[in-house]
Amino acid sequence: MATETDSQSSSEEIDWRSESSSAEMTRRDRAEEFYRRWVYEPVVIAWSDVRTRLGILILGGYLLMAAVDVFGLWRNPSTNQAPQLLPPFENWSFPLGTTNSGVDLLALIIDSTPFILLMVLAGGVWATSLAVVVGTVSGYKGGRVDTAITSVSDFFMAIPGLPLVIVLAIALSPENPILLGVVLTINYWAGLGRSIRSQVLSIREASYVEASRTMGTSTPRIIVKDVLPNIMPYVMVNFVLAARYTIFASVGLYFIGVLPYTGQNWGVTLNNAYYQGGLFTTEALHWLLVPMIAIVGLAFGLILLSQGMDRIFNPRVRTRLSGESESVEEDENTTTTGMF
Amino acid sequence: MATDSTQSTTTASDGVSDPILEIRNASVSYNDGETRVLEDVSVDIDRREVLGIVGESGSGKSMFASALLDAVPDPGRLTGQITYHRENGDTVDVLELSDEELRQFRWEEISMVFQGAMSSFNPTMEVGAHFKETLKTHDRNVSEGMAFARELLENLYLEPERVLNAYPHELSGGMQQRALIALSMVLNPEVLVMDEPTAALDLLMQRSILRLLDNLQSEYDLTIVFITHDLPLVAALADRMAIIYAFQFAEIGPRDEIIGNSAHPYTRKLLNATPNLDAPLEEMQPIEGEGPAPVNVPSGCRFHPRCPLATEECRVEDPPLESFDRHYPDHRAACHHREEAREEIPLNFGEGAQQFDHQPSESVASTASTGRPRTGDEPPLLRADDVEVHFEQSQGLLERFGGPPEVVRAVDGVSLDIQEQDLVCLLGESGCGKTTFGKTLIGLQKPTGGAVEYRGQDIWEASGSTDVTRDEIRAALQIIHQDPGAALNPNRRIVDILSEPLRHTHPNVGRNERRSRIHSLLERVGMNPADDFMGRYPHQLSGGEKQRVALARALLMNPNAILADEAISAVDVSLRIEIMDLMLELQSEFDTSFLFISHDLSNARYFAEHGDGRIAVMYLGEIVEIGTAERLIHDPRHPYTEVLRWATPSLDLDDMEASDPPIREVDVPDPVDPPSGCRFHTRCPVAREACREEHPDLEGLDDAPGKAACFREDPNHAYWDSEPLEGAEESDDVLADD
Amino acid sequence: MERYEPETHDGTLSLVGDGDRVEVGSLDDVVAAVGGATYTIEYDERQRKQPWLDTDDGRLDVDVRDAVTSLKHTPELVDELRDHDLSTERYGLPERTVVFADRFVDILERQGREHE
Repeated sequence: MATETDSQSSSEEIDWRSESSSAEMTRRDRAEEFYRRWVYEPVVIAWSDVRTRLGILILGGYLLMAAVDVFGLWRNPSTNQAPQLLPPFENWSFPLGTTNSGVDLLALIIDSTPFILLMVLAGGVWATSLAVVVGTVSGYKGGRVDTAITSVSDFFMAIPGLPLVIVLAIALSPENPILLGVVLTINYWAGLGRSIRSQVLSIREASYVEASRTMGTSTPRIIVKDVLPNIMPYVMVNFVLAARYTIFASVGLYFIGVLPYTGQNWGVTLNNAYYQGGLFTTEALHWLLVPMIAIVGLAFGLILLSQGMDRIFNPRVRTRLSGESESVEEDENTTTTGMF
Repeated sequence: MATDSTQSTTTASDGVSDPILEIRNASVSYNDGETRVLEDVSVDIDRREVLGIVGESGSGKSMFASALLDAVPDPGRLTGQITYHRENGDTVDVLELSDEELRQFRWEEISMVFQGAMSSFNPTMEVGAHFKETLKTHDRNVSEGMAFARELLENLYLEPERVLNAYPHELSGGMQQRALIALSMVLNPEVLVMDEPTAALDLLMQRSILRLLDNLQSEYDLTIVFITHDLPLVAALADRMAIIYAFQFAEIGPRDEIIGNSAHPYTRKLLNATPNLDAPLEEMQPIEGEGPAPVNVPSGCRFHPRCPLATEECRVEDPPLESFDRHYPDHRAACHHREEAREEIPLNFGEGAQQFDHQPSESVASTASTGRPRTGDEPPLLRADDVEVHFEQSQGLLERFGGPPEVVRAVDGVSLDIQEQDLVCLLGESGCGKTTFGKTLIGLQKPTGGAVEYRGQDIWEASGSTDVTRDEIRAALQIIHQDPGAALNPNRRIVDILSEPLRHTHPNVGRNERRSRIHSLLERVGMNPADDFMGRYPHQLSGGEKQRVALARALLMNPNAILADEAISAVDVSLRIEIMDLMLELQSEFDTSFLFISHDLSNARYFAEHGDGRIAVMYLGEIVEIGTAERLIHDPRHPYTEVLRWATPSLDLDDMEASDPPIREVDVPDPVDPPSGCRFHTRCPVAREACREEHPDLEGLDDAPGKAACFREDPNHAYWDSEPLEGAEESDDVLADD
Repeated sequence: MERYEPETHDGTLSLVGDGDRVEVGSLDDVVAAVGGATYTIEYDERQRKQPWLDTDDGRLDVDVRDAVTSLKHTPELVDELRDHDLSTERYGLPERTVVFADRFVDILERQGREHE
C-alpha cells in the first residue's frame, strides 16, 4: 500500500502512474483555469440568455443606485428641498418628481436602496442556507437525525407564518436591515428544507455517492461535492424566490405600520403616499407609482435572474456555450431509447 | 417474383417468394435531411419467417422498427416505400394510409413490443382491462378476445387469472414482458415487431421468452422481426439475419450463412467479439473504435475507419448491399472485399470450439476449487462466514403494530473465501442476492448475521486502533457500478472525479502531480488524448469511456479487491471484451482481487478463465455451486448451473436450435417466502420429494474441483429413493450431458 | 391475490379487505396530498401508440378521486399505512394520508414498471 507522500518515492511502485507528462500546469494556467470556470463560463452562459441578461441589467441598475447613495452622488432627501408635488420628468433636477412635502422622490428611492438590498440579501441567504443545511443533513444522514430535524421543521411549518413575523417585528422592532431580513423569513426555511430533503434522499442513492462513500470520503465532503451541486439550480431559484418574498413582506409590513419607520423607505413612502391621497388625486399619483415600480422592478429582476441560474449549473449548457465538444453519446432525436 | 418486379434504385434480392412486407429505399431523417438515422434500406420480409436484426446501440435499428409501423418519432421524416401484402393478395401502401387506417393497421396487422413498453401501461388499470381496452378500440368481440388472451397467457407460462387481475406494477419484469407479448398478439396480427423486448431482463428469462416466442410463431403462423444488440440470442430463433451498422444494412442472409460464412468484416468481427461459450478465449477480439453518430457518418463504406481491410476504394465509394455468391443468392453484403474478409478474418468458434473441448483437464486440477494455494496460515483477503442479509420489507418507523414484518432473505448463510489476487464471479438471476452479497463483502452493506473479515479483521468491528484499521479496509475495497452513467457525478469534470481517490491515497501531493498521475492513468486505460478527457464532464463521454473512468477511479485507490457489479452489461457488445481485458490486465498490474457480478455465463466464463478464477452460482440468497469456469461449463453438477448453461446462447450452428429450458417454472419464487428444502426444487427438472423436505449443504465434490449443493452428488442419499415431484423427470435425460 | 379495496363513506377513504379496515383519511386530504384533482402521466412517442392508451399527445390525465376510490392495494401497503398515525399532522395533513398519497403517486409514476 502506498503511503508515500511525494512523487519520487511513489513512482517506484507502478511506473506508468508517475511518469512525468505534458500535463504540468503552471500557476498562471491554474489561475486561468479558475477564471475560466468560475468567472468566464458563468458570465457567458448568463449573458447568452436574453431573460437573464435583462435580469442582470435590472439588478445592476439597483446596485448602481446603491452605489450612488453610498458615495453620496445624489442629494439626500429632506423636506422642502423642492417644490411640492412636482410631477415626474418635468424638472430635470428632480426627475421623478417630489412629494407633498417637497422631498425629491428619486433621492428617497436612492436613499433606501442599500437598506432594501441588504435586507433582501439577508432574507434570501438566511432562508436558503438554513434550508440547505437542514435539508441536506436530514436527507443524507437519515435515521434519528432526520427524525429530529423533520419534527422541528414540522413544528415551524405548523406555526402560521405571518402572525409570527408580526409578533417578532413588534417585539424586536428591527432597525438593522440584516436582522429585519432574517425576521421576515424566520420560518421560510422549513418548507424549502423539506423539499430539498426529498431531493437529497434520491441523490443519496446514486451510484456516484456510493462510490464516494466506498472511497472513504467524509460525509461533509460528499454533501458539498456530490450532493449540493446537484441541487444548486433548485437552491438558486429558491434563493431568488425567498429574496422576492422578503421585499414583498417588508413592504407589506411597513405599509400596515408594523415595522419601525427608520427614516424613509420604499414601503414607508408607499404608505405615506397612500395616506396622503395618492390613490385619489392624479397629482400625487407618481408619488405612489415610483416606489411601486422600484419594488416591482427589483422583484422582476430577481425572477429573470433565477431563470438563468438553472443554466449556469447545468454542465450540458456549460459545455455547449463555452464551445467544447458536445456529447458523443446517444443522440437525443434518434430516440434510440433503451438499446440496453 | 415480387421482389424483382419492383425495380427501384436498389433491388432487394432476398430470395423471398411470398413477401409480407417489402421495404424499398426507406430513409429516416431529421433536421431537414441533415441528420439521417436510417438510410436507403431495402429488404423483403417473408411470410412466417423470423428475421433477426442485429445492431449496436445508436445504429438505427430501432428506427427501422418504427419505420415498419410508420411510427417514426416526430419530427423525423420517413421516405421510401413500404408495401404490406395481405394473405388474400391485397396490398397496402403503408406510408399512404390515413391516420385512422394507420391506427387500425398497427396492432391488427403489425404489432410491436419494445423495451420501453414496460412503462407504457396505464397504472390505474388492471392488466385485464388493458386487454379489454385494446379489443374495444379495435371493435373486436371482447369475450372471444379475452378467451384468446387467456390462451396466449397460458402459452406464455403465465396464470391467466392471476395476471389479468393484477395491476401492471404488481408483476415482475419477466411477467410484464410476456403480458405485453400477449397484448400485442390479442388482435391476431400477422407480423410481430420486437425491438429489444427482453434487454432489461435476465439472460435466463430472455432465453425462456425467446423459446416461447418460437412456439407462438409456429402455432399462430406469425412473421417475427426481432431486433436486438445480442447476436447469439436471436441466432437461436431466426431464419434469416440482418446486421445493421451506422444506419444501413451491412449484411443480410440466411441465419447459417451469416453465422458461419459471413462476408462483411463487421459481421465477422462482431461474431468474434461476442463472448460465448464456444470460442477459445485467446481469439476473442474486440472491435477497435465505436460506431459513428448520425452527424458524422464516414464517407465511402461506413465501417472503413474500423476495418482492417479498408482500402482507398472503401474510403471513397460506398459499397452496395448486393448478392455475390451463386450458391446463396439471398446472401447480400455491403463490402468491397468480401472474399478477403472471409479469408483474413477467421471466425473463432466452430472449429475452435472443438479444440477447446479437448483441452487437457490438468489445468483444471491445478487451479483447485479453493482458488490460489494458500500461503501458510495467512488469513484470506476476504472471508464471508455464514453471512446473512435480511431486509424488512416495510421499513416504517413504528413497527409495533400489525404482524411481524415480511423479511426478504437477500443473502442467507453464504460462506466464501477470497484470496489475495483472486478472481471470483458471482453468477445468477436478478433477485438471487448476488449484488447484495457483493456489497456485503466490500463493506457497503452490513450483514444481519455472520461476519465478513478482511485479512482476519471483522470489517464491522474495525476501528482506528485495530491492527487493520477501518480506513485501511475502506480504501482497500472498491466498487465499479453497473450503470456508468450514474456512477460519475454529472457536475464534476473527469479530472475532479479522479482527484478524489488521490486525495485519499496521496493526501499531500500537489495539484500538478495529481494531474500527471491522472493523465498517465487515463492513457493507460486507453483514453487519448488524456488532456482532452480530463477537462470533460461525464455527459461528454460514451458509455465505454465512462466505464473506463469508473475503473480508473477504483484503481487510484490502490485497492486490494474491486467489486465489478455487472460492470460491462451497459457497454456495447463490441467493446465488452476490450473492457474485460482491460480489467484483467490491470488486475495483474495492480495485484488486486476481483469480484465480478454477472447474470451471463459467457461473460463470467471469459473473466474467470482469463483471470484463472472461480465462478460461484447463486440462487435465492445461497451459493449452489462453485468451481472453475471450465468445470461449470462442461461438467455442471447443480441442475441450476445446467439451466444457466442452457440460457447462454451459443454460436455453434449444430447446437443452436433452441430446446425447451431444463426447468419447470420460468419465474423465480418470491424471496420473501423461499421454498422449503432445496430452494430450487420448485423449478428443478429432477427434483424429488427429498428436495422439498431437506436442505442440501454446499459440499466439496468427490471427483472434481469445487463444491455443489445438490443431493444428487451423494449416491447414498435418500433422494434416490424418493418420488419425483410433479412435472419432474425421473431420469437424467433432461439434463444435457456434454 | 389478496387485496384491499377502497371504500368511501362520508368523504372518508378507507381500505377494506377480509374483515380488516384501515382508514386513509378524507378524500379531500388525499387529493390535496397528491397535489391536485388530476395527475398527468406522460408517455413517450412509442408508448403513446399502445392501443390501450387513449391519448394522442402522450398525456394521460388521471382523475385522482376516481383512481384512489377504485385502485386496490396490497396488504404490504396497508401494513405500511398502519405504521403511520392518522392523528399526527405532517405538512398540515394527516401523516397516514400523506404516506398513502406518496405510494399512490409512486404507482402512477412508475407507469406499470415493477417495484424495484
